[in-house]
Amino acid sequence: MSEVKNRETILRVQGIYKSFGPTKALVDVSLDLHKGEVLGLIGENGSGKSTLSTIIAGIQKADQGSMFLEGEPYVPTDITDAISKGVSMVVQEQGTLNNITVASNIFAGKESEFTRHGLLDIRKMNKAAAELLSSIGVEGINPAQLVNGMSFEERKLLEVARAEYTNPKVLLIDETTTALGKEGRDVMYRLINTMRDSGRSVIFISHDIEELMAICDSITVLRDGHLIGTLSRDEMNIHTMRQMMVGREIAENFYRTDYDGTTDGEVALKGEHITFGSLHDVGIELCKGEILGIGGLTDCGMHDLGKILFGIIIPDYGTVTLADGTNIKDTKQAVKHRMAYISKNRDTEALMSAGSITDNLCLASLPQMQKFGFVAPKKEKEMVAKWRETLSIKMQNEKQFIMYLSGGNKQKVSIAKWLASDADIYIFDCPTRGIDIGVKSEIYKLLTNLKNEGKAILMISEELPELIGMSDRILIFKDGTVKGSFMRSADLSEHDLIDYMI
Amino acid sequence: MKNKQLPPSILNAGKAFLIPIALYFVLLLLIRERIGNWNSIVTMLVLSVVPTITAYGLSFGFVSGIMDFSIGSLMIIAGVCSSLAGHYFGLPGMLITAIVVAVFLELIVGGLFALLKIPSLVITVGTLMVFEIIGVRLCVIFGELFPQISTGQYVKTAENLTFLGAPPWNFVVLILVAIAYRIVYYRTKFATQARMIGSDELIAKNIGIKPLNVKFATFLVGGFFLGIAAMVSACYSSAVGYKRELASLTMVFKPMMAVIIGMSLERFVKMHVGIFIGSLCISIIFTGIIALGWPDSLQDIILGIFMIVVLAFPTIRKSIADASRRRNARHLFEHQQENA
Amino acid sequence: MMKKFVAVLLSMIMVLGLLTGCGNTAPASSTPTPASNAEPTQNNDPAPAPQEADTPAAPALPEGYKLGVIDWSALGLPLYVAALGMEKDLCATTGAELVTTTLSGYDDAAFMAAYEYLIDQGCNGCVVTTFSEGPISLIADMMEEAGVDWFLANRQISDPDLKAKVFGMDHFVGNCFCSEEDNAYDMVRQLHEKYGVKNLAVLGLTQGDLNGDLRDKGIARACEEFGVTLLTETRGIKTVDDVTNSVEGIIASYPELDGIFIVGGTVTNGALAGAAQALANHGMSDKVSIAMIDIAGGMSAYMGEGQPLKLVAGGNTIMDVLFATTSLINHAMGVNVDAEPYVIGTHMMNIFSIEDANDYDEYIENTSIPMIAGEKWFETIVGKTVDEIQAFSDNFSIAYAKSLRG
Repeated sequence: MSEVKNRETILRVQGIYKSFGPTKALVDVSLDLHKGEVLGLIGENGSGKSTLSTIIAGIQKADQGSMFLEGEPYVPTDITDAISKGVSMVVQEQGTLNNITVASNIFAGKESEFTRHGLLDIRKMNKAAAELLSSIGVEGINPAQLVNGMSFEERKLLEVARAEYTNPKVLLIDETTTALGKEGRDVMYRLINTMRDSGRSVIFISHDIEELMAICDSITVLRDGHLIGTLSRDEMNIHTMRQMMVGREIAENFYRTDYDGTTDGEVALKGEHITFGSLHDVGIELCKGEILGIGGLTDCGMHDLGKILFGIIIPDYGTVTLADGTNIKDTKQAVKHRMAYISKNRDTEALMSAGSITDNLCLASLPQMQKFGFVAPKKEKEMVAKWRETLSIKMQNEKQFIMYLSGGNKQKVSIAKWLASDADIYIFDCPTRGIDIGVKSEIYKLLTNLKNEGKAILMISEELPELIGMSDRILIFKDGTVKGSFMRSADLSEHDLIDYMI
Repeated sequence: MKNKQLPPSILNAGKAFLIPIALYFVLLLLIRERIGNWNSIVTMLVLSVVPTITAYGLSFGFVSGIMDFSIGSLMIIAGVCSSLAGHYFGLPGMLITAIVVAVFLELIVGGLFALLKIPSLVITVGTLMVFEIIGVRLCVIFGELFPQISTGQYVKTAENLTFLGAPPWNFVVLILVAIAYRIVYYRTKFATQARMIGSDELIAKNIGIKPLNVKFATFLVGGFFLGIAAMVSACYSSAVGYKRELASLTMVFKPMMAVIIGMSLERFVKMHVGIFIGSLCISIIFTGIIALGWPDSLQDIILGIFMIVVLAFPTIRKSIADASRRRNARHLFEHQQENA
Repeated sequence: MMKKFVAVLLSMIMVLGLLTGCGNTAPASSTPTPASNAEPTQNNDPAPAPQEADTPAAPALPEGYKLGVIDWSALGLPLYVAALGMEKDLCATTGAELVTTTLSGYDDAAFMAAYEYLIDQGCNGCVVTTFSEGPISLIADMMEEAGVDWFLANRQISDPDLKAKVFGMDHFVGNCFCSEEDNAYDMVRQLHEKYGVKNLAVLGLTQGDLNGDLRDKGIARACEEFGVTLLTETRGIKTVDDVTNSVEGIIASYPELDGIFIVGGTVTNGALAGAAQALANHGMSDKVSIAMIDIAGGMSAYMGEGQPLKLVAGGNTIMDVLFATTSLINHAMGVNVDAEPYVIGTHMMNIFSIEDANDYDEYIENTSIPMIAGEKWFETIVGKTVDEIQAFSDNFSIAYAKSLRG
């Protein structure tokens, strides 16, 4: 693959600087992308990966620096201009539009190509959409249907199709695979390979080092806005990359090192005969001082289980009870009884994006903080300062809007919110999703500390290494029921679990 | 014998039309002798025509997130000018004047919106007040210049043109306008992008759509339909009078309700039908209140309740489905327990 | 910065719009309520002989006397243009200076501001008209403090405490108003007696409106007395479309309808046109009679063969203006100064035919030729006693106005 570097440069980025107020997002970043190259971009949250990719895609402009596309100066005025010049991007966030059909979503902004005498040719559009989806390996989606009822994964694939339709010379994929299941990832990888084979290039951003190593011809590491280095295929090494990302030695294994899976034995939370959606007659017990791991495929029902246990969803049948016999029927009750829930969908379910860090962090603790209905700003400030230090949350100040934090720091705020409320029972749903390795290890340490404090922790995860590395006990779900139960052991492997999942 | 199922589109249309039909039947139960005649039904349909066309004009901006409160005062000016034009230039003059004036006024509103980048609510309330004054001045000036046509407070429509406001011609106009609306709303790039912006402006922008340009266009396209509505209204009432003190605001709310109902029915029928259904429901309630002899203050209350019920219907339906599902699960378990 | 500038600019436009102050609704309750004799004079009665030309010399007005009035002519109604014309002529004839102002709105604050302005302009006398009793007390205090004589027109005071206060004030000259209840009663009576109306629908004023409530009483009284069925009422209509919609709805639900009473024709511009059109759409123009209060001018187009408008009552505003202004002038001249604050009852003029309507337009609401002009003022009401003025009012009719022209 090192011959890739000998190929013609398709995109050259030189001396890019970008700041957001006092925060330097990119500092003198330069890189070359060659024809037919798949370049991985990796770094911690806040390293500048998304900033760089959005500059290349025309979504925002650099403060300084230049770009060249096929040797010509490349200065996209906006995203449409970038697309017309051959640079497309699949963004990390939701990028499809509700109440609009699949076909219209795919060809959004390109309606003129299906217009005849000023009117849209809907049939032609639908047909083109079906062909396009089929060409990237996506079947079974009706182009005339509204996207409203579609899953996040399906909608993300539409965005991939949209990007592919523009026949880009350079395709940027920003942390998209985290949202995709196996099938979706396969589609993505096929597309990447197709682009490579046809001499087009891809910049692939991901937190998953192994994924990058499998797909990419080279990997560029960013840290704190600086380009640390680019590794060719031969040079790729997990340890090296981790070190480049974090700037310090990272232990190979950042999970728990003990294999004692014992707990206090006292049941803190119990679910019986839980039936809802795909879940059928599920029984579960969570003990104090235990990390109970729940694993399975995305749609096995485990995410719903977390919501049911916290009272967000009322099951069709079944009960959720605490040690004192309290029946949990809603979230208010759950919070009152010192339960915490950290959602998988951080931005939409765990945080108030339009709120400040203070608003978010203090939210669950307001009942304790308030006096005669008033909350002293001083108390709020103290709370934020405390958890900022405890969890090393990177922020400008406590008034900063949470939407401007990186994913990892957002997750820290989300967790801090519940730690501040001094909960006894924690339900984590994909706690390290979209988080870089540095923060991951911090979160794992946190989980271990909570366990040692005697807290009861339910951890739902789609990552088997995480389950194996952190859980005292693992339940594997399939089709809404528990198919396998495993105790913590040094010999436990992913292979053991997968057999029960698939 | 084969069991043929109706196409989904017809079934869905049937479901949507169930709402006004059900409303009518409720009235039949309450006051059959007054409402149970063909004349009543025709009247209800007639009363829906102008609000429907107005709602068509309002909808483009509405779906893209624009609240246009100036449409009432704008329609008055268009109606006043077109009524006058109708006396001298006949139907073509009336139609062209109404459309040109309405589009021109929306050009001003849309232009201000695009230029100043202030919320549409603020812009349109401001322009509403200015347009009301213009409407007053126009009536007074026409009253001085054309005393046989205008009293100074209102302008009369040419008698030979009022046929457009009555059946069957008003229905013909409605059908033609509905067809045009359907084509524009579902088959043009502009309207598709307007809906995209309404769905999520940020995503639409990142796709390459220019929200401000599209929103500006919604004013202009909406103005076309509002002009037609103004003309039909002038023919229907045979006069157009000025309004002041924000009284023209009252002209906005029924069409707005019709748009909202139309949007909530979109999973069953296309917007042009959904809006008509909304408008028809409002006119059924209106006629019913009169027939029942109830105070018309009740009309607003009943309308408000009706709209809440329509919009809450999906939620209510889901709650019923959830409750039913839970009941079934409970029965199943209890049955299993017994057998165990 | 730009946004702030633009926000200020827009606010200024809005304020400018408010201040330009053209009204769409003429006084919703432009006429006060009865106290004086409620016997309405038929417009077709023979006119009483006008005053003899040989009148005594009128007492003179003090030098520089200023008379303050609200100018309603911007509403566009000939009624108010004609009223202003008369006020101008009266002032020109008697040597007073007419000071006018317009309203910025129709709430109490707008009225207060208008009279404050007139006082600031140095008016010696003000004709006061309000849409409600709300601001009267404060206006009375203002006038009293400023030493300005004032006359309340088109508004009867129903609150006894307020009435006692106002009538006890030094600078309060008097009050003229028309009996709303009796007018409405009479309209229904005539609809029934002359046109055989048995099933009536009312397009009314908003509930809570003082004039509207009084008219409702009159309607109810007449319906009970004459056995007329009140089928339905629609209130608070704002646009012509509303009127047409309402009438269409009424026709659909009440095929037995034979009469419509539009109570407050000035509330909705074009209300009559809308109602007439709705009837025409259903071919019921001959079957249903329409009566209307408040608008009297320009009605000939709606009367006659095949037209539903049978009866219009209005024009009392002209009379109120007449008596209010002349009472103040008289007072300034020293006439009736010893009289306690007095009340002049006015009445609406009923119009039954095209001829009546044409005469009304020509002789009462003529915007070019004042109804009373020049020396006729002294022959009729300037320099006259209260009783003479009341007699004039009682006998006033369209025919009489015609005779005044000579």
